[in-house]
Amino acid sequence: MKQKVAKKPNIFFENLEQGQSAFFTETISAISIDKFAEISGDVSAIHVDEQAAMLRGFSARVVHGAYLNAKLSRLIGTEMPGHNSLLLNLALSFKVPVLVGDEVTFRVDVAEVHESVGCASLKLTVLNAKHKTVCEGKALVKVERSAPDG
Amino acid sequence: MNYEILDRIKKIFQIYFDEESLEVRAETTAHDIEEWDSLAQIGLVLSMEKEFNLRFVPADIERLKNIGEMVELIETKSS
Repeated sequence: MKQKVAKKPNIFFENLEQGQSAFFTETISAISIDKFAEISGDVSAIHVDEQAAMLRGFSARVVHGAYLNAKLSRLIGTEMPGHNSLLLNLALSFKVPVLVGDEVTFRVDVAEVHESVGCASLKLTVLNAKHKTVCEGKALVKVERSAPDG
Repeated sequence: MNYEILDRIKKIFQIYFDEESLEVRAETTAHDIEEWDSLAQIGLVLSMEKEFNLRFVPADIERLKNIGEMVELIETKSS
């Protein structure tokens, strides 16, 4: 299957500034989590079996933490900073379980720009519909300069 | 040679590479530490900026030949 490349302007390192951000909102569907379980191989009962999730005290299946990670990766790799970036590290804390059917907003903020090494520290946040932080973390990305270093 | 700065750099390297016995001297270069690759370089530079509360520019880093020159650079920028 051919993939479509987002036609967003590429941000070069020189155009990167602290405070820039990007976000998108998604209602997480059962189909998405089924597909993610299949791709990742994480078919833990709380992710794929509603009855099992309910027995564990959840009102619906629990979304994989790595699914949230993947969506943040999409935001980093296609929007902020976008196609000119390379993810070097990423760490997340999961504060509140996200359930199938929840509406969540994924957000990336440029926290700091590191001129010396052409990198940026990013603040990562996932908020639920009540604006409560369900997941937060940070990442470090290398961003290409429009002209070679030096 | 400012040995106080050298000691702090040595500690940064030991923490970054998770190796308490790692020896870092003025003449140490990237060739002396197997794990010191381009990714480690980024982490080390950012750790040094944080430790010494200063900012480098790319040209600062590119001209360094060894740790001793890094010590001198930090000393110059801190003064």
